[in-house]
Amino acid sequence: MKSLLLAIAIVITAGFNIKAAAPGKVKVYLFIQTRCPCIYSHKETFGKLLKTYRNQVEFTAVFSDSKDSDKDIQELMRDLGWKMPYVRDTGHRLLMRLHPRVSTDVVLLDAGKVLYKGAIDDGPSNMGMVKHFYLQDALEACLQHLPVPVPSAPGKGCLL
Amino acid sequence: MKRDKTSCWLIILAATLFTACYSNTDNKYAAGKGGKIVYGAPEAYITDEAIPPAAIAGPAAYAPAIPSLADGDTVAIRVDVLHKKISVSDEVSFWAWTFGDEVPGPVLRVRVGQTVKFTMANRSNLTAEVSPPMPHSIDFHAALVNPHDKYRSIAPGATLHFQWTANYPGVFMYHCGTPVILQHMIAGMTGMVIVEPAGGFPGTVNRELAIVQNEFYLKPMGDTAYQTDVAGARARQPMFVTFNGQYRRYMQSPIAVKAGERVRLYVLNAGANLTSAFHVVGVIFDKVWIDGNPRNEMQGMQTVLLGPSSGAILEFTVPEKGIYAFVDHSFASVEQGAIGLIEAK
Ligand SMILES: [Cu+2]
Repeated sequence: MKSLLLAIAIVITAGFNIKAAAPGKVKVYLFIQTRCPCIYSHKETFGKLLKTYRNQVEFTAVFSDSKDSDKDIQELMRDLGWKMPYVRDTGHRLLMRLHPRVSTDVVLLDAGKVLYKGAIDDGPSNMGMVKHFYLQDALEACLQHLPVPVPSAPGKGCLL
Repeated sequence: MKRDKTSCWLIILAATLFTACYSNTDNKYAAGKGGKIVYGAPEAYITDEAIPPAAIAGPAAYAPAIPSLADGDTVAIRVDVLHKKISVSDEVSFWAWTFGDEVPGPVLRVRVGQTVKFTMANRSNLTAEVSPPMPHSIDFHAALVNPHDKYRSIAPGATLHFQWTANYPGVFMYHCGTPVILQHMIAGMTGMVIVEPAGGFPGTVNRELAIVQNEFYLKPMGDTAYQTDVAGARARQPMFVTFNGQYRRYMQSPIAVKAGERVRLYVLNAGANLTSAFHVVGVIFDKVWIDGNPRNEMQGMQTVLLGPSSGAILEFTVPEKGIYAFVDHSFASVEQGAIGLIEAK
C-alpha cells in the first residue's frame, strides 16, 4: 500500500503539469502542510466529499512547503484516512497561479476557471460545528451547472 | 423557671453568634465579589496593527515563582504567543508553541472581583522559516464567558483583546483551544491562573510555589532536535512527564526551604492526558483545597489526585532538616521526569 502510494506520488510529481490534466473535468486543489494541524478541523467534511464526488471531481492535495517530505506527506494522508493524489508544488507554480491564503484553503476549478476559493467549511469558526459547507455547496452547484452560491470564504490555517 | 429562660436565651445568642461568625468566615471565600457573580463580558475584538513585542505583562511570573497581585478592580494582563525552541532536557529540544515564551506558560494571579483586560498577540509569524505561522487562541478555565467569542483563534500577526472577571477562587488552567487542541497543548500551550479569594487565602505561609505538571510527547528528527508526536499523545505514551517544563527539574538544584516553615504549593496538572498522583515524600498535607478553593478543604492527605486540568492548593509544615522529594506517585511518571527535590536546611 505504502509503495503504491509512493509510486502514485512520484508519477504525479514527475509528470505534473497544470495543463496536462484532463480538460473540462472539475478539479479541487487542497493546499496543505504536514506541519500544520489545522487540516484536522476538516477531516470529516473533506473526507466525505472525497468519497461522494470521487467519480466526478479530480481532487489533488498540494504541498508547497519544501520541508514537507514524501514520508511526512504519506503519513499525514494515512492519518487523515484520505485517498487522494498529491503534488509537491515546491516551485510554487500552483501557489502563484491560484493564490490560496492559508493551508486548508481549497480552490475549485471548472475547465480552468476558478469557481470557489477558500475554506472547506466554517467549523473552525464555530467551535467545530459546521454551519456552512462552502466547498460542498460549490461542488453541488458546479456539477449542476448552477452559479456557485458563495465564491469565497476565509479559511483558518497556517500562512502559506 | 426564670433561670431556664435565661439559659435558653444564652443558647440562642451563642448559636446566633456562632452561625454569624462561621458564615462570615465562609463568605470570605465565596464566589463573586460581595457574593455577586459577574457573568459574561463585552465582545472580544481583534486588531491587526503590530504592537511592540512583550512576552508577558501584568501580574505574571514563571513557575515556581508566583507573581504579586495587582491593585484595583481592573487588571491588564498580556501574554503573547511565540514559536520558540525549548529544551526539555540536556539532550532534547523542540520547537514549542509557547504562551509568554516559556513552557509551561506564565503563572497569572488575580483576585476575586478583579476584571482582567487581556491581550494576546499571535507572533507565530516571526519564526516562519522554522515553524509554520498558525492561528492560536486561549481558553481560561477561570472565566465565565462565551468561549465562541473570547476563545476565538486569531491569525498570525493579529492581537486578541477580551475581558473576563474572576469569580471563583482557585487554581485554574489556561490553554490554547485551536484545533487540533491536543497538538497545541502538547506543543506547550498551557499554564496556570491563581485566583485569590477577595480577602486573600486563609492563614499565613512562609513560602509559596507554583508547580505545573505536564507531559511531553516527542519524536526525534535529528541529534537533539525533536518534534511533537501526536500519535504518541493519542496513545498516551509520553516521552517525558515534568514539573515546570523540564525533565527532573530541581533534582540538581533543589528548591530551598527551612525546617519548620509553612509551605503552600499551587499545583496544576496541565496534562494533556494523564492523571497525577501528587505526593511529597516525608510530609502530610494538613490542608488541601481541591481546585484551590478554600471551601473544598480536605485534611491529612498523603497524595492528591489531579486529573488533566485539575488544580489544588496543598499546605504542609516542613518537619525537619532534610531533602524532600515531590513526585507524581504514578511511578512511571517519575521515570519520565516527574520528580523534584525540596531541601530544608
Ligand atoms: Cu495554539
